[in-house]
Amino acid sequence: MRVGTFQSFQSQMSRMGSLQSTLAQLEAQIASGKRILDPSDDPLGSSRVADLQRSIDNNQQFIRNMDAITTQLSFADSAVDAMSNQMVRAKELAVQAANGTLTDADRKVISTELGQIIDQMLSLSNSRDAAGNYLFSGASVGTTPFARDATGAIVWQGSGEAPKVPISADVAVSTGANGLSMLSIETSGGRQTILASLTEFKALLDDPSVDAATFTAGMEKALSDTTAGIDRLADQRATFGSRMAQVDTETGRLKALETTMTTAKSNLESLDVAAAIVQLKSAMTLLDASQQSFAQIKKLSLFSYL
Amino acid sequence: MSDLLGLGASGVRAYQTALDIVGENIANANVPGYARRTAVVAENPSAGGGFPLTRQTAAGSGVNVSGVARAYDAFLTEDARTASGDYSRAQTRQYWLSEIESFLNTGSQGLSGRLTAFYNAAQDVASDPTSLSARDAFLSAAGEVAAQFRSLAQSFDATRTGIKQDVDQTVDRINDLTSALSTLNGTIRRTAGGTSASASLADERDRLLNELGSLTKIDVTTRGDGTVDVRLDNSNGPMLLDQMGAKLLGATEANGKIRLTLDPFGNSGTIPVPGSGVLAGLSDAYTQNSNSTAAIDTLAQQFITSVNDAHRQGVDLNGIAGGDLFAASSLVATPSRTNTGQATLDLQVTDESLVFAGGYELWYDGGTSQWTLSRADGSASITGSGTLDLDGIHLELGGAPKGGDWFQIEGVSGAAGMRVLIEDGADLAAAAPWAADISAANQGTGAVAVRSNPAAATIPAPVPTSFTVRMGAGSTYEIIDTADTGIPPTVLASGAYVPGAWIPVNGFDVQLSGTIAEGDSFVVAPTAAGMADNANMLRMVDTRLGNPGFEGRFAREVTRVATNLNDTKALASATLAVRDKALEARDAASAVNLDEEAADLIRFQQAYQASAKIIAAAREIFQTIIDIR
Repeated sequence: MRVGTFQSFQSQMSRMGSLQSTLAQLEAQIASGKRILDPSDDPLGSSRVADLQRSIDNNQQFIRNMDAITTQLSFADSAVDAMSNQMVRAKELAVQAANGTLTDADRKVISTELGQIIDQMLSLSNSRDAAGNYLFSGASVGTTPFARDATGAIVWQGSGEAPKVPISADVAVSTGANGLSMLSIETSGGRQTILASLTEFKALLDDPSVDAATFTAGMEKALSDTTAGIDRLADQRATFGSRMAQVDTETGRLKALETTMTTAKSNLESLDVAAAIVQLKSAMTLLDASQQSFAQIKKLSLFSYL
Repeated sequence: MSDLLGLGASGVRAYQTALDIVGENIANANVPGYARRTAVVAENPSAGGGFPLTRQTAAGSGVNVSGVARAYDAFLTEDARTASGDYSRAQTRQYWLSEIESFLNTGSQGLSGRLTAFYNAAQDVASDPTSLSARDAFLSAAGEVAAQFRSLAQSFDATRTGIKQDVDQTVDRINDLTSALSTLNGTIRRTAGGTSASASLADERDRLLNELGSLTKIDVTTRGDGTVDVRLDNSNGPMLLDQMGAKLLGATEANGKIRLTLDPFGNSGTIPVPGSGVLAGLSDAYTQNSNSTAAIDTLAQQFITSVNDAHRQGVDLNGIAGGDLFAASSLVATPSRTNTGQATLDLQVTDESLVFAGGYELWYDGGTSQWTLSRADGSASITGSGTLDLDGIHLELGGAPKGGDWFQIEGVSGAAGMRVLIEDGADLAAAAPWAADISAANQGTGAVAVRSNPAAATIPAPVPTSFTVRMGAGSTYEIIDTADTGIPPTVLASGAYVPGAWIPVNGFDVQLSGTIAEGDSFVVAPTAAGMADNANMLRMVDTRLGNPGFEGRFAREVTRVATNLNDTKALASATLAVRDKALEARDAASAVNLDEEAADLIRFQQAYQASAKIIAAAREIFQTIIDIR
């Protein structure tokens, strides 16, 4: 076959050009450590990488949500724990007060301590989170949940339920509790809050005119109310605890899932560096050989001998 | 005596011409499209045969160059032309698709990442519904989504303009080529065949046809005299060039595709772009760009609609019902290409409802240094400087305008016009419109829940603003107006209590559950300001669901472009190999090989020298005769 001098230069150049672009591609892949540089390098793989990346981002968001839930629940749990301790002391006071041989001075001492417990309980019921929102006012996080009215009675001012935060595509967990439901107990005088019951207890101690039968009945109620209160708060802690456990389990699951997805993503897009370097070496050898043979062959011309 | 002198002279003449041609070949060895020429050296016909004035000779009459042959293979030339066209198509398409891919896929900074960030910011608001910083962060994420949609729309438009410009330039070049070929046809017709001149005209013709073939698909008919007729596409295609002259080609945009017109000033009919050459590659890329533009526009519209629908169902931190979060159209000022000044322009819409749908024009008068803003149909206008207010549009003008500068102000919709309407995080409607509450006096432990249901309307007018659901005797619920202080109050609706059942009321469903004592009551009222309710935020988060969701649909569009580009890359390397082979085959027939020319050079040089020796011998012989005395 005749070989056109001009065309033989052209086709050599074209072959070397294509080798050089192979080298550039390998170099970019090795530099970035990625097999897929543009979606068109592997459309299907690249689309799966995007899907995985989105799932990883979403998981991270759910983990973030759960961190926020855990923080809120820890605040709430520690407040309820402190309330529990106060209630244990209130129950001891109720046992003491139920003793019929107490003097007025003894009652006074018990009443004073009970007053401090009530103040402490009220303050704990009005606990706030890190952002200054009330923990137990339900949805109205800016409203003090419990306050004393003009008559000195402690009344509920909050409303609604604390928001539920998603921990997965279809499960949401409440970040707090409605203080009214949380502190309400069944008593012999109907359903009332622990705070109202304690206030009633103190009023009875403070009233010297009350007769013995009423006092005894009141003390019995106080004893059963404080017991119910302790149980109620224990239940509430159990609720918080089970939510935290749910969040912990889910966080663990999502973290494990994230590891799996990150591995899958890396398998799809990561470069087999060893193989790429072998390819690079081979392409370099080929280019070097082409350049040398080109230089040698093009020296050959009949004109050199004329 | 034989005519030895004549024979020698004919040899010298013939080989001089042959050497000239070898010289020409060597000189043009590096000219693309140059076809190797050879001198056709032929024996002079024997003279004589009885004609009265000629002498019968035993010897021949010498040699001459009877013509110049051009090494040319019609089939291989056409094959190379077609292969070039196919490669040009793939190469052009690859260039523009890479362009589209590069702005479409920008990883986590791209639309897909922005949408994910938007939904995740929505969840941050849901985690802490009253946090203004979470709300502001969400609005900023929404702004990023809108900006990304706008930027994509602008990139698509820039690509469309770029491709169209290339199409116009290509069509112009095609017209130049056909008109040059038409002129060439005339010259070829007047030039005698078998000469260097005709060979060089044929080279030029083939060069033009090659270029034409790399621009678009053509069908060439070569006539006996070397002139050509050219049809577009195939042998049945429309005639681009015939013996009468060339027809002008034009290009138009129609329905997201490039169409061609022939003789654009007379004929309104359009023809599809033939499937080979640069023009075909441009047309392919244009179609992909149009399809992607439409897909992203649709995606933007649907995203805006579903997020707005969700947002409108909620109430914000001030207890006010939510409006639209995104606007799907904006007014955009586009400077004219002919502007020479450097005006700055800040456009704000103060009242959407007053904006004139037909668009506006803005002119700067250099003489009076005044701007004029007028409706496009001229029905209203205002002139002034600094600021202009017309139809709810507020314009602040500055910079250094020049007389005659002109702006077009038009509403753009879809992805290009997307923007966020809410600026204050507190205006984000994260809460459900209705809130339910337990009465503090309740003796039961029953719970209440409420969900929005705009369709529910079971209470007759006048509908109260706040409802109380009360447990009556015999496990029945009663719905009354919270403001009704009558004893007993008017029961608006009632029914049997089924724990956990949703009871439709007005604009909401209410659900009672647990142990409810007679007389227990629950209030359902419009959500007040400052409530930590995230129900509507969760509704907005749910707009991402669907298979595929918005993020998935965008990813699918990226994949579509990527697949097309991937195919195109494979096609480009395949057609490149085919083209190189076809060029090699053509050049094997017609290109110059310098070694071969060197050999010819030696051969003809020797023949020349030998012929010159004949002349010398003839002179010596003649001298011998003269010397006889």
